[in-house]
Order: sequence, then C-alpha cells, then structure tokens
Amino acid sequence: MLGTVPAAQAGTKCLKINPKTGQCLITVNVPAPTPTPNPSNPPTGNTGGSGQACYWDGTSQGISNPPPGPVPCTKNGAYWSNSYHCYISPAKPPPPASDPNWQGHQPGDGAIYNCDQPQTGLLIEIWSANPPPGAGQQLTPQQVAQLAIKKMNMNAINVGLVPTPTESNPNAMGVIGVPVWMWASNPTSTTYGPLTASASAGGITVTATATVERVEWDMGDGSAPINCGQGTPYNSSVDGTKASPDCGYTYQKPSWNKPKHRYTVTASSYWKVDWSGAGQQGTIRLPALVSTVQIKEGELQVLNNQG
Amino acid sequence: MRTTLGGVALLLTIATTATACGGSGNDASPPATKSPSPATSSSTPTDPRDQAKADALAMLRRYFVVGDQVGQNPKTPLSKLKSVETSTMLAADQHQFEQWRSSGWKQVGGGGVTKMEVQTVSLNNSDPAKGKVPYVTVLVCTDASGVDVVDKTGKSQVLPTRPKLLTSEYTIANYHWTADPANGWRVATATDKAVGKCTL
Repeated sequence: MLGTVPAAQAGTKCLKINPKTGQCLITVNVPAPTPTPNPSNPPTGNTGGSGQACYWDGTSQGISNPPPGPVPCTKNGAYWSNSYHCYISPAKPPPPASDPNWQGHQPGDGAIYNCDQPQTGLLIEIWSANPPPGAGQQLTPQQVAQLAIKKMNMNAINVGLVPTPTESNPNAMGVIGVPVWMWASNPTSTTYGPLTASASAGGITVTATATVERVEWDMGDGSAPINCGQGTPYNSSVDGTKASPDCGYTYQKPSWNKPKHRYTVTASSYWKVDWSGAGQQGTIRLPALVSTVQIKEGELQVLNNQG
Repeated sequence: MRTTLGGVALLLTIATTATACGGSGNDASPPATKSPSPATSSSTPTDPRDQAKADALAMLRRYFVVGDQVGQNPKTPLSKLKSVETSTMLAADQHQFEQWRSSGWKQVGGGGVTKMEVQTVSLNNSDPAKGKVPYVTVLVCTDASGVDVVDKTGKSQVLPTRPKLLTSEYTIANYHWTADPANGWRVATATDKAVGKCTL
C-alpha cells in the first residue's frame, strides 16, 4: 500500500516531500468541496437496502481503488467527512502564520484541519472557514435517492374497469355474477414506470429507478383487496361472461345499499424504487398513489309478462 | 552509507552557517542575507530576536536527529516526536511513521542536512490559541544520497522520483513563549522551495 502512494492526488498539492522516501509528507487540499444541501420534505415510506451515513467514494478524485463503500464514522477521535473523503480533526495547535496551509488567510480566520485519508495513505491539510460537516450531518445515499424520487412526479394509474364507471357513463351498470375486469389504462412511465432519475449531494450521485410493484384493488363491497399487476384491458370482442386472465372480480351483491347505490372502487398503486450510489444500493417503497371510481352493480331479473 | 553520528556531526557543522539577523518589533523580518558572523551555541545573544533564532535553530537540529532515531529504530516511541515538533509537522510525521511501522519499514543511514539559513523571525505572540505565535523560518538543504528506507526483506522502498537534493523552508514556532521562551520551540510546518537542487 505504502509503496503505491502517489506524491499527491487530483485536487491536492504536495507541500513537503519526505526527503528520505520521496513520498509526499504534507499535502494540501486547495479547492473547497461541493456544499451539501438539505432535503426538504423527502418522500416517506418503507425503505430497504443500506444507507450508511459514512462512505468512501474517491471517484471525484480519480481514485477507483478501493471502490466506493461504507467506512467507520470515526477514527482516533477524528470524524469522517463525505465531502472531503477523509477523517477530519483540527490541527492542534494551529500552525503559525507562515504556514502556506493558511492559503492567504491569517490565523484566526477559519482553521486548518488534518484530513486523514486511509484509502490513499495521505494526510491532507485543509483550510476551512467553518468546521467541515461530519457525515452524521450530511445526507446518506438513501436520502440522496429520495431527492431523485422527488424529481420523478409519479401519478396514480388511470383506472381501466368494466363495467364502465359512473364517472364516464352515469347509466352504466354491471350485473352481479358477471366478471369485472380491472387494469391500468394507458400506462405511461409516470403512472406505471419505469422512471429513472439521478440526484447528487455531498459529493456523490445516486441513480434511482421506480416501477409500480403492485396495484391493490379495493372493490368497495367489504371483500378482501385484490393484488394485481398491470392487468389486461377488456376487449369488447371478448365474451362478457369470461373472467379477466389476471385481474378480475365478481360481485355477489348489488350496490343498492351503498351511498348513491354505487360501489367505490379504489386502485392503490405501490411504487418500488431501486437506487444505487456511493457503492451502496437499496430499495425504497413509497406510500400508495390512489385512484377511485364508482360503479353500479345490479341484479338481472327476468320478467314474465305471460302470466 | 552515512551513520547517525556522522549526521549529528554534520548538523553541528551546519549550525555555524546559520546567519544572525537583527531587527526590532514583532513583525517578521525580511529575508536575511548570509552573514559571516555565526550564531553558535557558545554565544549568548542579548537581542530577543537573536536568541529566538539560536533557540529555534537548536530545536531544528534536534528535529532532524530525532527524526533519524525514530526512522532507524522502530522501537523508538513516536511520542518522542512531540519533543521536537508540533502542529501540522507533528501530525504529518506521526502519520508517516505509523505507516512505515505498519508496513515494516525502517530507515538506514541518516543525516542528509547540508545547509541551513534563517529567513524570517517573528515574535508576534498576540494569540497563541489561534496560531499567532513567535516563529522562525529556516531554509534547509538536504541531500538524500546517504539515506535509504527498506522493508522487512531489506528491499528499498524509496520512490524512483525521490530528489537527491531538496530545499525546504521549515517553520519553528514557540507556542509557550510567555512561559518558556527558550525551550518552547518546536518545528511546526515545512514546505518545499526547490526540488532537485539546493538554492542556498
């Protein structure tokens, strides 16, 4: 490891070579890291996968080995900074004014910090006006994924249903005992997926891909919800007594005793978001997006006018 | 291969090349010119600036000796570095020697300092907690010819890019000026001024 340590990494400058080995003894980091924004109202919901707060990602320095991945958040009293990719501790005591690490500032104007990067073996001196934020104060990759989700603008499905909902035809009515077909009508990337978006914060980029994992149908008659996928659109050429191959239901009671004599059918689409970044990956499951329609179900009675 | 004793002897010789630099006030003085009048351990400067230079140079010489001892003998405690350095220099040397020891490296040979020359003296002690402390900057030329660093098998770990000659500016600071103006000096930081040559 030591023998491969370069004199300095990209974004750093070697101030002092060790005259014995030729390795860099004191390295200075000149550019400031990208500030880390705070998320506002990130989406909520169940999450899966990892979301380690402290992670190494040297790709911005041109370092691919070791690959990005989680690291311990502290080391010998120093704390990990995701922005600087190293363990931070203040230089104690602060170096005198002649030290070029002050980068033109006077002692007391900001401070100099030791930036210990075990992945490269470098100890980098940095000047910062304020203490660099610790990883505990920064976004985790999972939170960055939530920033990506905010860009996606997902919508509930357009309900496809036979019999025709009363919103489309107030006179339409189904017949109990005749199969009901349910499906996601005219699915698009925003109503059914896949949707892909990326977000960057704190020096890392996370890419997230969202798809509808399932559509839960509540038929409004008190029966158990039905879980479906996209479903199969009803085709008028199909025998009306034939059941949907993958998402259907058959009412056993008319809807006369329901408000406005209608069943309220609720389609809840559940999105699953797979994300990856900073050497980590995970899954976020979002709260359901809901669509509702109403249908009438009645009995078919045969009148005998002969009698 | 130069021995440690040889390195010490060389350093004592170097001390006679350090220049005296007069001046007044607390601001850093302009770069000194080489002067034939030496500041040696036998003289007793009365000017606080001259005394600061002499004390800082003495500590810088000790710094190189202790650095050789720690590099040559892995059993020498790293805490010994604190007796000669502080701040970023201490952090950097501790970090590098920890890496040496975890990799089984050690130094063979020593010395290498060929010239020293005082550059500036500042006795501004207005805010030690923030780094506004008295300091002396010294240009040092080193020659790496007599130094090697080897692993457990004796294989050299010196980078092929290591320069033979190096001119560096060392800052020796006194964070305990009020309580201990003579012995509070420590090497606080360093930066290279010329790689591959000695400019003194």
